[in-house]
Amino acid sequence: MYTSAKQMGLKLCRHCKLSMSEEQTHCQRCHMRVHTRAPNSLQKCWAFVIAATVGLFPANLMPITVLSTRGAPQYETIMSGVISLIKDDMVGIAIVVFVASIVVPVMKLVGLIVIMLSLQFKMNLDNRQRIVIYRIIDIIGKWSMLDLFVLSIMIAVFERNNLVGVEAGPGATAFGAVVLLTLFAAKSFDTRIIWDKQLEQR
Amino acid sequence: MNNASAPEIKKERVISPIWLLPILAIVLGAWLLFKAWSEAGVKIDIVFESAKGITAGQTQLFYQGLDIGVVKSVALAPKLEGVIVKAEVKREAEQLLKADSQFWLVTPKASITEISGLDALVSGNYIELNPGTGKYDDSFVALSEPPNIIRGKGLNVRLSADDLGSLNIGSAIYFKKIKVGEVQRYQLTDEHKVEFDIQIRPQFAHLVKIDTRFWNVSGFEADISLDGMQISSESLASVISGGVSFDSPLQSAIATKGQSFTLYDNLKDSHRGKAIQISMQQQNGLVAGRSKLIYRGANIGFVSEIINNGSHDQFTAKALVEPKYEDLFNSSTQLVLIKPEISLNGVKNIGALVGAKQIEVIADQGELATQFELSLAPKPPQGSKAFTLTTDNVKGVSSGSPIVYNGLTIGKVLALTLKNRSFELSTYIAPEFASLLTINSRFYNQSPLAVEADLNGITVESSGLSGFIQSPIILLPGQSKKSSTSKTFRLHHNKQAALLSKEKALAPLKLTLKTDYLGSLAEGAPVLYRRVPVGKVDSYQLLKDGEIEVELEIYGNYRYLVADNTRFWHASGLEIKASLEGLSVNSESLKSLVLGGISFDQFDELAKETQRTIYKSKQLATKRHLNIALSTQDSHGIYNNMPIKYQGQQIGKVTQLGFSEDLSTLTASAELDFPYYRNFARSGSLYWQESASISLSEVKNLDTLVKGDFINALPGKGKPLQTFKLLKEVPNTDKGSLHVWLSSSHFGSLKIGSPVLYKQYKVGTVDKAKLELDGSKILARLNIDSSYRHLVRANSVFWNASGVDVKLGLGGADIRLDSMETLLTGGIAFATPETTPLAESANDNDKYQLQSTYDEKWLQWSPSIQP
Repeated sequence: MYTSAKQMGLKLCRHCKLSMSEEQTHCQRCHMRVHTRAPNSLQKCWAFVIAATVGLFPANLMPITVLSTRGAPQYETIMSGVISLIKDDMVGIAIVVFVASIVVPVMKLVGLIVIMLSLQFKMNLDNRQRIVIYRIIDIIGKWSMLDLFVLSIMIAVFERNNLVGVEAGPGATAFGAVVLLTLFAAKSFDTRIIWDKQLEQR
Repeated sequence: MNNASAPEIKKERVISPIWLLPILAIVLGAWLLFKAWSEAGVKIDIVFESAKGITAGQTQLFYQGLDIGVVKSVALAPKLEGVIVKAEVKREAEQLLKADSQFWLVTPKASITEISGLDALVSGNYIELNPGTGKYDDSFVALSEPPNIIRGKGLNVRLSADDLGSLNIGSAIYFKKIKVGEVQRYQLTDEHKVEFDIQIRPQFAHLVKIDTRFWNVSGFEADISLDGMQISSESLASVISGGVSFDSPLQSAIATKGQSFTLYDNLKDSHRGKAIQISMQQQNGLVAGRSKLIYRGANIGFVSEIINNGSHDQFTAKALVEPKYEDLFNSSTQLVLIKPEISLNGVKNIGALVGAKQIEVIADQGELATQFELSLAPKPPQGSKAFTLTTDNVKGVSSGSPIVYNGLTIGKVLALTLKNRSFELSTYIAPEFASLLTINSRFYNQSPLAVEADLNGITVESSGLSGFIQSPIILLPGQSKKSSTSKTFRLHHNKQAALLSKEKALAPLKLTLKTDYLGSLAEGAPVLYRRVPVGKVDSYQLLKDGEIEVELEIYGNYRYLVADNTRFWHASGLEIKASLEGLSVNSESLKSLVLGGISFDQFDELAKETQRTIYKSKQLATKRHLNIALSTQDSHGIYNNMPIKYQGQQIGKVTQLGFSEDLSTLTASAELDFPYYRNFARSGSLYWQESASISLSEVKNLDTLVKGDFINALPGKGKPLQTFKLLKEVPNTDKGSLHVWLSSSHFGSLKIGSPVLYKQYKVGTVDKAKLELDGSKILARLNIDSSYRHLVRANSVFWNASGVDVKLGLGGADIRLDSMETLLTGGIAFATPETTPLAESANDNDKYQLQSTYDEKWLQWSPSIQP
């Protein structure tokens, strides 16, 4: 069918896309270090994915905002925020928040885990499906930061005073970490491994 | 290169350091998990009466302002006894949850006195917690109201008061109107007192001293008295919600925590000072809190309380005295009720009239004492000379009446007591005048007004207007310089009596007089000698015969004034004489006007009276009369009181007129004054009526035209006689006058009184005329003055000189007129011829012919005729 560049003893500089022989350790053009495949890609991806998964719990269980008005401060988690939005008849916004804050991060992690598990345990999964999943993860992943943007704007606007105050809760930190970790996980995954596996099986 | 073995590719199993990341995440997650678990609050249940103002998830629990938890849910209690509030309390606050911990809801409270829980307005209602001391518990029953609790830093002291007043929890404690603390708690004690726990803020704690006084400043403090009006209040808040104020002496030690104080009702009550007790029979107008203790004009204390000792007739006033005046109150100190004094000199102590009475403190040396008796009568000032005046009649003297010396008030009557029907006046003389009181000092009552009115004017002597209100007592210092040792003096009725008593007193002279007219005489009326009171009317009584017997008392040293020729008369009232001579008003004294009085004097010309009589007037008393009767047929011009005069001076008057039975004669009874009747009541005395007569020759007695006629009198020399004829014309008193008769056919213009002229000089008058019985002639009698009678001779010729003699001729006109008077009244002229020797002088009642005209030669006659 086709021969990979690796089989032909070639490797590609990831920075300036220059092809060179396997022996070269550094790119002749940009003098950057050159690897045939990203080193420990799967291992790194797993580490990021696991850390992000762990972070997903505090991000969703701990309050992402602390609203102080009258009486006790109101701690809002992401889900309780979505619920109160629905209660306040703001279903559209609730959906946006729900998708961006809960669905997307979870889907990213689930997608990555599915890809990596299928590679690791040689599951029968179409390479095309794998790469589609990856593409989606890569594209939507950055939108998860929407929540944090909104939160930071709210904090700035409702500058803490005696009447109303908005503060970021610990959940916000966790959520931010989850988003970053998923981004890194997606970035550290070298998609060529998918096809390397297929070539080895053959 | 052949030998070159193919490089063994050894797959390097490298564990990426990136794996630290998930480990870190797990560790962090685990720590968060532990933290969440460890920080999970303690769940408690609080039963509230109502869930009003409590919101699940929002209502917080606070302890001292610290957030210790939040209400998680509110649910209805199973038996509907309230609502169960489930709350989560932070674990670090767990030790606050004891069995008797108190919970209550703090809601914003806005009232005029306080806006509390305003934080709850912003933060929402919250539940406040007051920790208890028992065992741990997790279910509580909330209080419906904030409990009385003392919390926080500051000085806590306890006040006790009789009642709560308008104080409340939170009522402010003021020091110099600055709020320095507040009432934290109050409670009723077993002794039925109200105890307040107050807290003074730490920065003000040093202001409370061990002897600080607290008083209630609730509401307005209005002190309205004659001293002025004072309304004060601490602050508007204290007016409404009450407050407590306090003051502190600077030097005292700072109060200890928990010390007990008394909360006084007001500032006045809180005055510190030595307490004394004043016992009295009556409350005397003293008012607690108002009545002051005055020492030399300074306010040194006040009556704080007046209590009845249960017996209803004994009162005890408790008074507080300023500490620095404590030493004034000793065993010899006198407390005297100050009474208002109103006099025209000024008004003193008028406050005592309307407001509360004050107490004067008269201090002396002695041991300190706290029990006093209130004296009602003021005591004489220190150093003054106190003495007693005795009198039978106080005559308006009362306590407060001044003792006056030469118009200056030098002392005062303090009290008046009745003892054995006579009065004793306790009096004093101010220290600086004490020397005026000598062994022969005399005192008398001055009547407020002494008026002496006579024709010289009216003299009013007054002791000043104040004398009308407070009869002054006059001091007459004696001549002696020796100061008196006597403590008792007699108060005399008047100056005379006082002066008298200075002399050696003689026994008064008692006289009994009779009168038929009492007038306004009253007992005690003065007996005056030349307007000096020298005695008084003792008594009077009506005798059976209608006369009144009056007993007089002439003071001892005036008894010599009463002699045989002394006459008494009523000096009562006014005597007004109105006549053309003028108006004469006479009165003795105003006192005698009112009281009546008797005057007397000695009259040398008067003899001893057999019975002393009080005459109606001085005239009656002094005049001795002789009654004569004057009879006349012509009653014209005769009237009562018609004066009888001699040479213009009145010597008597007509007293009564009466006709004889046949109405032919009028008899005028007249009296002749002493001593004229000696000469005029004799035979030969002449009385005639003088009327106004106007003629060309004279105008006579014109005054009688107005005053009426009067009777003229001429003395006689014969035997005493009392009946006389009243003549109508001037009698001829010329004894040697010549009376001759003229006969004439007609009377012409002659009249009675027409002049008889000699050389046109009047030497006589026509004094009588009569008709011859046969009617043929008219006879006129001439009265020739004795000094000219020798001019009439046997051959004298008389002619009628009336009218004008006009002769007309060629040589001219000759008009002759004897006198203007003869033209009107007629007249007779005569001439005596020059013969040698002269004819014999005419005799009385010779008759001559009256010629109607004269001969010219008659006028030429001018003989020298010797008498």
